[in-house]
Amino acid sequence: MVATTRSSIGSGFSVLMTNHDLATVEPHGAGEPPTGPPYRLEAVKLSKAYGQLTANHEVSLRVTSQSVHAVLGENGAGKSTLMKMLYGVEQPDSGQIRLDGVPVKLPNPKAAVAHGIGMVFQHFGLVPSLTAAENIALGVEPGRPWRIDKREILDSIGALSDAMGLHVDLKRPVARMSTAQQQRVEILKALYRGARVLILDEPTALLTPQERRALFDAVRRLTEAGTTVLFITHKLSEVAELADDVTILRRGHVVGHGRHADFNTAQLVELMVGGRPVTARRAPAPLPTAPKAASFTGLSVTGSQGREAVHGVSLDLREGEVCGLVGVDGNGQLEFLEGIAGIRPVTAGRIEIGGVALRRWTHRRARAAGLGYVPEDRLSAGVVPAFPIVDNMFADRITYGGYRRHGRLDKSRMRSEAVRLIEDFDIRCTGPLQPAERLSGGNIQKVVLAREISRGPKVLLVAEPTRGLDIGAAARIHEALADAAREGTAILVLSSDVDEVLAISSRICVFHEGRLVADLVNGDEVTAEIIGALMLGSAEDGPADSPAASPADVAPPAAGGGA
Amino acid sequence: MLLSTILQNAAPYVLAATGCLLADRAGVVNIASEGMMLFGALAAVLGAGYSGFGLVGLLAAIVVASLLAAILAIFHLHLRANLILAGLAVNLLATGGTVLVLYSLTGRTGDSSGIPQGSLPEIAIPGAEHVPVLASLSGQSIVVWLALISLPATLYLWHRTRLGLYIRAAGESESALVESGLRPNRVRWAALLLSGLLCGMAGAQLSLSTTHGFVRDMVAGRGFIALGAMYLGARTPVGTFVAASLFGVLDAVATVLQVRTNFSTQILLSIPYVAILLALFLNGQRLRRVRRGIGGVS
Repeated sequence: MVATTRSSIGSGFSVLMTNHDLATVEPHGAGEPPTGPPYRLEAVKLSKAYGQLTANHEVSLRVTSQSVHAVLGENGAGKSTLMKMLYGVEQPDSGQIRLDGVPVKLPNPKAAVAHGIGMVFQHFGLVPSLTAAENIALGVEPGRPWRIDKREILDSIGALSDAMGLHVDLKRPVARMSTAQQQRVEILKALYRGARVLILDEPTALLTPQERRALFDAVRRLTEAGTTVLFITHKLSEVAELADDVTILRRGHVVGHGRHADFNTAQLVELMVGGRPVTARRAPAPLPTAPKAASFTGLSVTGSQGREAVHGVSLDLREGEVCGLVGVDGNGQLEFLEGIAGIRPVTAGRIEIGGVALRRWTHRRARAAGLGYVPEDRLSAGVVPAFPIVDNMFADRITYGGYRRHGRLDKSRMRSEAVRLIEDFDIRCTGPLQPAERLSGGNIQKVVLAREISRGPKVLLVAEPTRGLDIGAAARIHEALADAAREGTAILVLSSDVDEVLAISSRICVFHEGRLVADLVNGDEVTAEIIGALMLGSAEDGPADSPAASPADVAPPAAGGGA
Repeated sequence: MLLSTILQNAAPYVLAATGCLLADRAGVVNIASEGMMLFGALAAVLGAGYSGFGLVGLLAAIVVASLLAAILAIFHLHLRANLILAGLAVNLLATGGTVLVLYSLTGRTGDSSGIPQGSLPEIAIPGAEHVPVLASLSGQSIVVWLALISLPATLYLWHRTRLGLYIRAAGESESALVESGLRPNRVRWAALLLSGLLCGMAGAQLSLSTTHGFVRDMVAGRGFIALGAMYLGARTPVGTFVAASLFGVLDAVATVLQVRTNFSTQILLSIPYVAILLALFLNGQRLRRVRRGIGGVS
């Protein structure tokens, strides 16, 4: 059976998508009238757009009472937006939310809490210096106005935590707790406020495997005790371990939903990553004889949580090469890039650029050695928002770029070069003096690229080149990257959009759990499914319900390399 | 004699620092404490002088200082004025305003010698004249006693009341309060008003007990020192109390040495200011070590 779905993406761009053998996959929005008892929580055709970006398009979700429901999707698929609407943080542009079949309005989180919906965000909303008990009871303390009943707080929370197996030291300030403990405090906080539907946003992102197991046990106990759990994830293994039902989102659309048992791994991967035909051209592969532009040997990089995020990764880049860096969020690929850029501490390994090894790697030294860097968050890290385009374009080279005359900045020269770059990079603006923050996301990105490419780097690091951009701007940016590669720049581009990486890179490196697990030459035989499977850790990650098309059976053409 | 001087000098520091603590932990740095104390001191002299009752003076000081706190709250919390500028404005208002009020009432700009001098009620312990420590305590003004009970009172507020809990949360994680359905600005209003109340008491002690009469700029930086003492005390009730008391000790030592020795008065009077500089420097070093040790909480 073949279900064909026509879905419109972004700005009127239409994609034909074919799903094989997915009997349970329904075209979004085509819901049959519910039979039997009403769903505990239901989202009906919720849509939400931020400016031109459609985060959710007619997303529907049905959560059965006392079940664990997973919302699966890649970064930027619209999972978080959906959850925020269900918790009253964001308001849907259209659509309806129903609780037990009754439509509800959730203008703010308070209203959601009043309806028995609780949410645990990835970044916890706890007060660090308050104890666990004080955090849990904040705003709903028992006792008289001028005397909080501490005993009552400790007793009631203690009973709750015992019943759910969520043990924390209630008298300890949360600042001195591990992430997992803080998460337990957050869950208890939601339950203490009477949450019967609990939303967990990527609950395992910061947990160790042991902590993860403990969390899953607790979630099981919660559902047995009558709570309904909705959790966001991009990890297939978690869906397999925990979920009863699953809804899969891609680019703001529901691309599949049903009982988890009805899907096999290959189907989930395909739905999540998408089998979109690759239309853009691939960058020409550099000749194997092209000189080495950079060489990274045994790099280890520390992540935000103080743990090592990259474990001894080695990679060589040749001139004119576009190397795509992919991995599920949090697997070390971003830390690897930021480590090379000199933004994160590199704890071990050797970095060589243009044959010269560098010591004491800092961002300043990296730039001096011929590195260009386009950061992930273009508005806060890529530009000074309030500064005009011209200042942003030359901010990195005012001291040595020849823009100095008689000890002052040669503003007229800066301005005329800015005008040239604005034309070259097709930046839509009112002129070089327009503040960067007034530009659209795509044009801000072009300003950043113009600066980084015009400095003539040997190696250009790019994180998320086109995230949130419309198709036209994305195409222009891909073109600029291809031009830079033709000039001999080695480009290392990180993207959470596998299709983008397939479209623009000549080589693809896949990260999993802080290691380089695959290093492939891009070609027609490399597909999103293969990459997706590698990103998810292939064999050991898949549930054992798909004997046929296990992605690991497809051998990557040029596997190897890595640590 | 020395202990008695210490108590009199420490009380304004302790009360003002506690006031700064409440505001600061709620998320508002009360740099207007200086101005609140100054206006409090004048209001106390006027209230006590014209009514003949010291308690009326204390009440007047509290009301006036709280009014200044309300002005700060309105400008900062509602009109979104920059806190430093609004606080500076309150301080400048106090510097000029007290002289203006003094001049319009007495025709003098320097001191309140034209007004009948009142003083704060004193609390004596019967039969304590010959007991070493109690003898110094006995006969101290009501504000000294209030300063002494301010520590247990603050600790109770901190750990036993909703307001205390919300104050501690408001300064650290506004979003946590909002998510819990509470209004951070209400908490800050309460903390600022309490802060004004305490600074007013501190001012009354200065003009009705530690010294007698109002002299222009008589607070002489004590409000700022109190703010520093609060930071030095690591923004905790006990630490703030101890640090503020320490400055009271230094003040008292300076005063006693001034009377009993012929050491340069200027140098003696600069002791508290040098001490706060040194103390804040050391505190900064400590904080740097702490920050290096702990990555902080996300």
